[in-house]
Amino acid sequence: MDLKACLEHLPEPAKRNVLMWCPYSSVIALGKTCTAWREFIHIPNQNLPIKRIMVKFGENCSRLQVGSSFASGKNQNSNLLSVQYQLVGGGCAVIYENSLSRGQKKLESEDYQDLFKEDLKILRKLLGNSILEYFEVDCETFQCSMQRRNLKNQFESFLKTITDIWAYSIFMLYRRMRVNLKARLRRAILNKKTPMEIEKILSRWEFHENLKFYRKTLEKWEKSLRNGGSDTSEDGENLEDEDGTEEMDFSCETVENQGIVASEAEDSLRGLLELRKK
Amino acid sequence: MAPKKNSAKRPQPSTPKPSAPARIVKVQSSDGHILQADVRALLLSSTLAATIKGYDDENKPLEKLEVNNVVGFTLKLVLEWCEKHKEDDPAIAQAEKDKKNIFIPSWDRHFLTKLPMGNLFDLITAAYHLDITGLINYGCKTVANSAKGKSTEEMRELFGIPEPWEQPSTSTATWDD
Repeated sequence: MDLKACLEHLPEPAKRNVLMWCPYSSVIALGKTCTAWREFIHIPNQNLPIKRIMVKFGENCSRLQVGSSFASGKNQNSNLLSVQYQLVGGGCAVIYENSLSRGQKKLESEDYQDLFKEDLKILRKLLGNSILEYFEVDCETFQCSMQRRNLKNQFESFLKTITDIWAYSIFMLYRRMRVNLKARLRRAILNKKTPMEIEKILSRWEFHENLKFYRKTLEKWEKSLRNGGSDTSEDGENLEDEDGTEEMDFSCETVENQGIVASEAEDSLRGLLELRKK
Repeated sequence: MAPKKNSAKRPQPSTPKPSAPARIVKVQSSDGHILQADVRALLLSSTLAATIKGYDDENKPLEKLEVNNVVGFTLKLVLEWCEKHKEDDPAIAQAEKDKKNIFIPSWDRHFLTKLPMGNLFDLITAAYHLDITGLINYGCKTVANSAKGKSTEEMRELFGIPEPWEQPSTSTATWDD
């Protein structure tokens, strides 16, 4: 029997099915086995089981960590792939490792920031329509660095890259957080809680700190609700309706929306980063 | 000992009830092999179920079913799996279709992992042709399980891929290439 033919001639839904149950590092390894699998894996929207992405910035280096989860028997396991991009001489070094292996590649005349950007783009493509559960930007080194100004510029360039690539996902997350905040506020106000009690309730919510900048825009709405006014948004948004309408077009493909989406996502990220600086 | 969680979901095959005698039909593979199977087992295949229903609706006697795209050896494996699962509720397999986490019962795990990878691929392909959801789920999950923790080289060997992947020199993507 021709095993190669068998592998390549698996029906496409079967290939997708197999990929759905593979951890991310296995998907990458499978993509390297042959042209057919590589091409198949690079079809957009494969919905691979990528659950978390963490980006860490440092001096002349950055790190990308990709976490995926997969079922093994009755257990749910996780798999973490870590890639570090580092400036070395006139080129860069890429160090990648997971729980099973570690490797290093030196690339002459390559910019480590460009490589990082390319890999992020690939990751975004492979994630498809899957929901990312966790996205973390860690700039601890950035705060401690002596070359703060240089790193700030570098970081802003990265931030732009991230928002360009991930804008839609971040925007969706940000919108859900805003919907949640408004629901909490509404419930508390309608239950006649005092402003101090409301603050106490909200302080127990882990995302509240990240949304303080948005909360300021809700002051009029809160006041109106306290005075028994209608529940319409004073900030010109009706988030509940947006969230319940899956077909709403927030597509990044629309040039007009893209700016808005990127801008809001960037604001959201800035909020998170400001918090970290404190 | 408390029963396993999965055993509650997926009923174990039992002996046919005396009141419902097995209705045996002949099934012919693409290479001319003739096998026998219980109609209840064949009903796990949506494709064959539609054909059987067509015969029943027209009150035509069903003597032989022809499966034109599956060879004898693979068809035998398919029928063995179907025979084992003929008492299952088809809704369970449908519900498992889009689940990210499914548990492969021990009989199926043993049945699928003992097969050489080439036969497993043939079985999955046949399951798709015949539209047998449960077999598709377990077959694909078994392939994914076998790929876990393997390096590219090990996968190439496992899946019988002789040609190494050549890196395009122009690409800037690192860990992906």
